Amino acid sequence: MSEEQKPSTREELYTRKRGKNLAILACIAVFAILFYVITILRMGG
Amino acid sequence: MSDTSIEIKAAAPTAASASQAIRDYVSLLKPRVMSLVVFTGFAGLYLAPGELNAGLAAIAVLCIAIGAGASGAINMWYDRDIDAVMTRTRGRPIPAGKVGADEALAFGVILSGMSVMIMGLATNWVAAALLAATIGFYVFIYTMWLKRRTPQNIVIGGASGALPPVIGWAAVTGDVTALPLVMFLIIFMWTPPHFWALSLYRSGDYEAAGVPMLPVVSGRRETQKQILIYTLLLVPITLLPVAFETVGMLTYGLPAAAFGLVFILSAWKVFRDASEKNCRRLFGFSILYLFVLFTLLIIDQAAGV
Repeated sequence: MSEEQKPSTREELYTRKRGKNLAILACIAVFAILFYVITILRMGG
Repeated sequence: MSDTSIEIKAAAPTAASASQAIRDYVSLLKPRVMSLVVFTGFAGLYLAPGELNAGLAAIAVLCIAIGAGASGAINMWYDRDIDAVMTRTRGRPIPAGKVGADEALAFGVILSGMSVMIMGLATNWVAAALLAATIGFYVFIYTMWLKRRTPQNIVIGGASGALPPVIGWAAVTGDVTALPLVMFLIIFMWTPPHFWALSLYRSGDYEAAGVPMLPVVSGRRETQKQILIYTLLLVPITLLPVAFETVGMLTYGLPAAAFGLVFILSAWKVFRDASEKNCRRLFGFSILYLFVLFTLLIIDQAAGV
């Protein structure tokens, strides 16, 4: 199994971690929003 | 001894880096594959008898999309060694170093769980269970088990791509009946000629990666024959809704038969000459064919209302 390219500088490492954090934040935000929307729609009938 | 204090250079937060990160993570979800999944899922939902709030229906389709994308991300994590070798896939985010392997896996797992839970909350747990089964089948059965072991990988693994219309149907009705199973069967039988057409002009790539696609294991001639056989089996199956009298002849039957004949002709051309041009044409037409079939089903339903 070949290794994927690892970040060669600290900048790349932080950029990648920042990207990961943004992705997870987006997932949590979408999850929360959908939860509220579903609740409102189901209560609305 | 020299001063070895470490200078921490924080990456300057820029809009460009954030948007690039978004693009990288989105590409993990295989958006081009997702479009077909979303469309067939929507078709199943639209064709189902009964009513579902438009907002909840949109969320159900979104869940199918996210679930499909999540399984694609996990597939990219598992196949990162193969992807790095193949020309077609070495630009993907993980082999290209844009997203870390663990990050892609976490992203896929989070989205998988999220999509199933939201589907259950928005519609019903039958649809959620089917979505979970789809993701599980694609990840564990196709990606981790079949893909590297048998040339029948995409035949059996195609079941996961065939489930979205069943999920859409179950989101409305809470159960599964004959028509969604026919839609499942159509996509299931369509998958082999679709993927084998691709693998015929990419066989070198698959061979280099050690993936036992049919052209690599059994040769091009056998693959050409199998493409034709599956196509000849597929077209009558697409006419089953007419036999069940669930669709009209003018709105679905005749156009489906006409497109089916064109598909058979394309498969025959590949059977006679598996040139890259013929294979690419068959691959491209197969995508159009599936879109047309499900569009016809939707039009038939709309016309009957």
